[in-house]
Amino acid sequence: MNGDPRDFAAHEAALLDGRRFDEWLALFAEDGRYWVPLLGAAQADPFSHNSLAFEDRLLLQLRVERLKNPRAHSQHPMSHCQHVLQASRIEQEEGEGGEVRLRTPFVYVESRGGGATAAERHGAPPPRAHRRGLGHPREAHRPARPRAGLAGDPAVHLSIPPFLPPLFLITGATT
Amino acid sequence: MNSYRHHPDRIAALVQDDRVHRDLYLSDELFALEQERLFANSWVFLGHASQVPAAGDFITQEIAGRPLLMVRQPDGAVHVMYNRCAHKGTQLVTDESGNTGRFFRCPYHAWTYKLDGAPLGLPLKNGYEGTQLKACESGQGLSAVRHVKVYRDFVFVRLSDAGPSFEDYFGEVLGAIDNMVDRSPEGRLTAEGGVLRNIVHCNWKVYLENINDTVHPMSTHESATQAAEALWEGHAPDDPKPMAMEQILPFGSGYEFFDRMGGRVFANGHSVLGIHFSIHSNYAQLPAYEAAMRAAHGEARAAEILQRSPQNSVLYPSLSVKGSPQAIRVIRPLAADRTLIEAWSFRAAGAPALLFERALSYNRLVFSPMSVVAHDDVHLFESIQKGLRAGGNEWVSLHRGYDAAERAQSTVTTNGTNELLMRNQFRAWAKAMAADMEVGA
Repeated sequence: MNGDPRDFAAHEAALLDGRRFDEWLALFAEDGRYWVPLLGAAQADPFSHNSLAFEDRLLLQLRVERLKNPRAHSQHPMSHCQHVLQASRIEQEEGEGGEVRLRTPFVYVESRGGGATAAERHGAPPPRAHRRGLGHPREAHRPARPRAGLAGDPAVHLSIPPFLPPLFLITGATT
Repeated sequence: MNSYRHHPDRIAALVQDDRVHRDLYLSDELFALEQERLFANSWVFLGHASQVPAAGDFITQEIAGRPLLMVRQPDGAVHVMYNRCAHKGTQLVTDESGNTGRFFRCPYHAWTYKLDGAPLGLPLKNGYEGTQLKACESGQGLSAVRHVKVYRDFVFVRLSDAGPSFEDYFGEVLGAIDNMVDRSPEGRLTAEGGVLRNIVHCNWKVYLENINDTVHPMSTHESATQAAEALWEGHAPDDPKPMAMEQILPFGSGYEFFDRMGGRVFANGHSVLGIHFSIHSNYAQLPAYEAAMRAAHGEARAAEILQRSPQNSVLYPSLSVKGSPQAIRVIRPLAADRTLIEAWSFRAAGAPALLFERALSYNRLVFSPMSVVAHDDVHLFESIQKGLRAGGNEWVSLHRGYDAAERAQSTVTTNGTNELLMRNQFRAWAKAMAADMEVGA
């Protein structure tokens, strides 16, 4: 992707919603970290407090590879997700390292079942809005396209603001 | 309804020698009876004293459907009271935790109480002259939970006046808490880093059974372990692993590994799984920490603590402890088909930060709602809850390793894949549920 870094967040969400996980993973710099802090923006770091997720490339790869395994039991039926993004705002313009800081508040809905057709699974939004699944407002900080060689600097990291309840529901069968 | 209340024989019949009836997981009436009897008569884990470090610090928690309040006193003691204003019943505090200052003030009519629950004052005093308020319960202040035990900073309550003493109830399984606390060279833990919570749509016993189930990882976690193994392929067995790999890869161990790890059951439903070794036994050694442990505890005790890394120790009915990594899970039943699971991480005073990182990492990888391991567990727990409604077969099999002699012994050592650990839970369940139950027509 080139051009406006604000397109990056929309591109990333579209890849996830389309289950194009390998392409999504390819967006990460080698030293990128995917962080979902439990305290949202109030959490200083992933080392002094529990996080919902804090993953390096190895773990993200594991996540993606697992989903390809027919014995990923919780994917029968498989999950659908939909990101609903607010417009991305640039919080910090491109600096010397080429990094841009974006903030993209979004609502994320994940559900299973509901009899989506194959066509609907590839591209179109889920057929009906099943709201029993993961559905929490989140906000994201995302720099633009990560560049190789930004050692020690997380390339893509998400953060959930304090209004995310520390109670997270795993459910979603909607049949 | 009322097929079980006043019918201890019917309750006892649900738990046979080697199988249990599906009503145990499905019946709303049994859930209500569990709250009244099992959870009220047992010693149930409330919280950790480190959650209330300073005078006036409190946490709120519900046990057996009753709102409770744990608060640190000015003299350092920890008190547990019912979270109910003596006037109308308002909960005095509704935050999960906080500091109340020097007294509690009810938000409804401003009645106030000292930190120990003694009445402090109320507005418009003159309207109570000549009434019976002072002599009545409402004039006595907050009701204390009478049976509270703080064991090495782990706070337990027994809500009923009936039931065994703390020591008699837990017995030898308290060694699991000792092992976890003694991993601190200073003998002290703090609960840190917040709590990961999940609501799972299954009966609490489905979750608790699984804590003692070693036959499921091979099949349940196949997708996660195969992905991990494929990514780690090509590394020598003793190559230093990233912490996440060190923690995930052993889930893929074969049946034989889990069978050999061994287990032990105790009276009242408690158990230790992994008495010989576990998936936690081979974490990287830390020589400086081990030296500090020897200095603190002596050679023999330090070796005993560090070599013992059970998979899970269950303090029935609601607490599961992992000495290494330093983590606990607490099972909080919400309804017959809904259970809140909490995963807490601990920091050991005087131990390297790496130990705390292991606790955070393990909880995140295995118990977080975003875990790639737990997704498959949770899916299957919810699947069980639905499948049991099917009928056709009303029984759940717990036959594996059954031996008639086990019923006569209170402590039994066994292989790691024996379903004895689960049978032992249900025997305790039946005993607590039917004990002294009034018999009806």
